[in-house]
Amino acid sequence: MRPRPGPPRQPHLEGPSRDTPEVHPCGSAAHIPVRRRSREGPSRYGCRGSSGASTLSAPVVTKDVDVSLEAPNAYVFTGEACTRAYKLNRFAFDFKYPRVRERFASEPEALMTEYELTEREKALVRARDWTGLVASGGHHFNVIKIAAAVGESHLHVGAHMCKVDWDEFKRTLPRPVELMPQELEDQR
Amino acid sequence: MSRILGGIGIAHTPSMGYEYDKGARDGFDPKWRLWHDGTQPVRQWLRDRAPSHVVIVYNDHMNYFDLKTYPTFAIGMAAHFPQADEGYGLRPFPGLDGDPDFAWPIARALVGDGFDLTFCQELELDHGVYSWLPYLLSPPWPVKVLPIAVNMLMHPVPTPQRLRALGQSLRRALLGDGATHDVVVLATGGMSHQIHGTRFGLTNEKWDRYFLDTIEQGLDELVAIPMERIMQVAGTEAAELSMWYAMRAALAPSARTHYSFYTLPAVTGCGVVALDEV
Repeated sequence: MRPRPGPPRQPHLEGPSRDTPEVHPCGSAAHIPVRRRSREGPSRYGCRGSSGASTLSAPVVTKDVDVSLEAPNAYVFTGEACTRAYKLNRFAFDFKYPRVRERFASEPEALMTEYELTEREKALVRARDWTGLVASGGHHFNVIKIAAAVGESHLHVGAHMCKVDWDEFKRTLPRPVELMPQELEDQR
Repeated sequence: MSRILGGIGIAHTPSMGYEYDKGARDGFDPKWRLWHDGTQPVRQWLRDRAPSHVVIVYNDHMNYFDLKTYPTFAIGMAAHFPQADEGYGLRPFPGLDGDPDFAWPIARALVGDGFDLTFCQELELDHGVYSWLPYLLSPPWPVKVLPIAVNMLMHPVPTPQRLRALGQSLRRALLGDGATHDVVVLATGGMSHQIHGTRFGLTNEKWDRYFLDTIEQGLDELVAIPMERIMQVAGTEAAELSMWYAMRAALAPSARTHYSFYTLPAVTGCGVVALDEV
């Protein structure tokens, strides 16, 4: 995919739900990882795959969510990641400047070399592998600046992270849970 | 001593600002109309209380500060704070004025109280401020602001206890500043949300409403909840709620909720609370 020249669109500012139903037809989050499985079979909150769990009467709000903050559930940005992937973050941050976006559109390889990206980081950028870039230590606020420069929103980035089709992803937002901190303590 | 009139806690999100501009131009999307209408009593409250200054505890989102030098606590000492361009051009609002004569005694007192702040002679404010701002105030802005930026994007971030202590120090600083300003303390942080990983889009209205209900009387109860637990149940970015502790701790324990409101228009819980100092 060739980067598009010119100023980015503003898709990341567009709410996800304007032209989409409030509630996924399956009734809940298709791709939030579930922690527990019901004894009857696949989680009733899972909507994908062959589970056939789609029931319009399924509850919208769930307690059945994986609370681990480890990847791939979440990519909590740490100072260590920042130090490790500082050059990548500096590269992505600078996409706030029009001159950098324009340069990326015309000479992406030269730009990445100037910013001293590793070969692996360059490959991730070429592949628009947003998940890989964040997993490599790119802050998601920075990575979405690159995404925006090629016309993708933070929701596209979210869909990539969840490995689901964009249209399906939009339908599943927001993904309500109702767990309270004390319930986690009680489970420990 | 300056007079503390009260406090506001309010969510922020880029779409809140985008939807304001779009709504003001073409009419609000119904979901954002709810938020617009729900914030209007706070607009009226601000009009009635008529503060001269607003202290704003907020976080930047890699729109002004970059990772080259990232302050944990930074305070804006300038006479003017422009709006930060987040990469899409400036929104149709002027910058906000600061007041160095107000800011320096506060900054000095905070350092004296153990908060080693980074002093910013320049500071541009991103959607952490500008997304909710037009819902509550209209230009020409009737107040001067003192922004305090908190690291909320690179862990370790300040602890909940530290943010409560910031509010307590802020209170001592305001009450001892030798001035006669009328001050509102505002803190802003998104409520439940997570915008990365496979938990992208997670929201938790039950938690958000509990938080709004508890901030008046239960600050210590909230502060005692480990930040990681909040991130687990309400999304990693809900850590920003800890900034609200600074606002509450800057008010007297006897402060009372004047108004609160909650809605969930997109992927971030949007709540607001206004407290009167009594």
